[in-house]
Amino acid sequence: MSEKARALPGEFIRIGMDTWTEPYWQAAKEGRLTAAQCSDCDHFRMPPSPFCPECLSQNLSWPELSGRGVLFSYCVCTRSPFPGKAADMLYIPGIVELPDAGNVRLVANIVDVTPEEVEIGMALTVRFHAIADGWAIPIFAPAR
Amino acid sequence: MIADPLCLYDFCLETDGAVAVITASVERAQDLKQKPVYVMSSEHGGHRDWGRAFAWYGMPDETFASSGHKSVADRMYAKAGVGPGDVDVALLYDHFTPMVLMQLEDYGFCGKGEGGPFVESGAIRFDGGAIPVNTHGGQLSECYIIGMTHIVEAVEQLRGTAINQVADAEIALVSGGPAHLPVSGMLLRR
Repeated sequence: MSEKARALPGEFIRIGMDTWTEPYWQAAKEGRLTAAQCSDCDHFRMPPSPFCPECLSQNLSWPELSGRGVLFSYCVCTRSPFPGKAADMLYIPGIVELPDAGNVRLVANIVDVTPEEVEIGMALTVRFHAIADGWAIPIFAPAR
Repeated sequence: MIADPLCLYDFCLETDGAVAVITASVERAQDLKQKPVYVMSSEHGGHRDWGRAFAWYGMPDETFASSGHKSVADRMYAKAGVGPGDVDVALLYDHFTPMVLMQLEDYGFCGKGEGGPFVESGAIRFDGGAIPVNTHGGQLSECYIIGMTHIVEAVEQLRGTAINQVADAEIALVSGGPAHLPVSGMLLRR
């Protein structure tokens, strides 16, 4: 049985945020997946830019999502992303489409799957991975 | 293998260096010491459905596997009144090998999806290729000064002083890094 992909070591991941992105990270810290939705025209947009690309409104809501995702694309990596600080490891960055958020796409680690099992179109479910300073990032595992 | 299927040599070098580009009016340039080359057109921007942010992947399927340059390329050629067949040498931003394949498609040197076979056919070779690409070795092999050495090479080719000189080069294409918007493309002539 070949090795399963894991998430990048959280202790080396630091994030910054601003007014527009903070709600996303706050939700992740609390174990909720969300995406920015324009309050005026319902269009979802990620990353949450200040203006809606469809209607230019700045009114945003942050609905709680189901956590389901679909894998749009991915890449298998095996070298250490933190040379000198963390060992080589198998990790799979992927682009995940969120069907209940207008199919916006996130970039996230795909975990708990082998390189042979991962495939475009596979159903995923979100988990939250602890990173530095008490924050967390969404990662995705195969939906069972 | 770094990021399957990209290996070490599919990624550009990391280099410290600097380039100075001096621009002047056509009139003033006639009196300067170095032979000028002329900007035919220079386009900077893109289309709203490609590259809205650094890791934004929401583009439609038909442009997902592209360099995002097509709209810039179309305007660049139109303003200069020439087409891909008129380009004698192309200096395409080569941070990663697949982006060169996709620029060949977006700049019209081959059809969409044909970038790989086009390169395999020898079409971008210095010796005998239909469109020599990155005759200086580019960012993959010479050095990585974030696109500036592509301008240097284009100028040298058009002056006739390049090391790997394309015979009678009259028009050169220089592209700016495929990434999120804005992207850019420029045509220079001797």
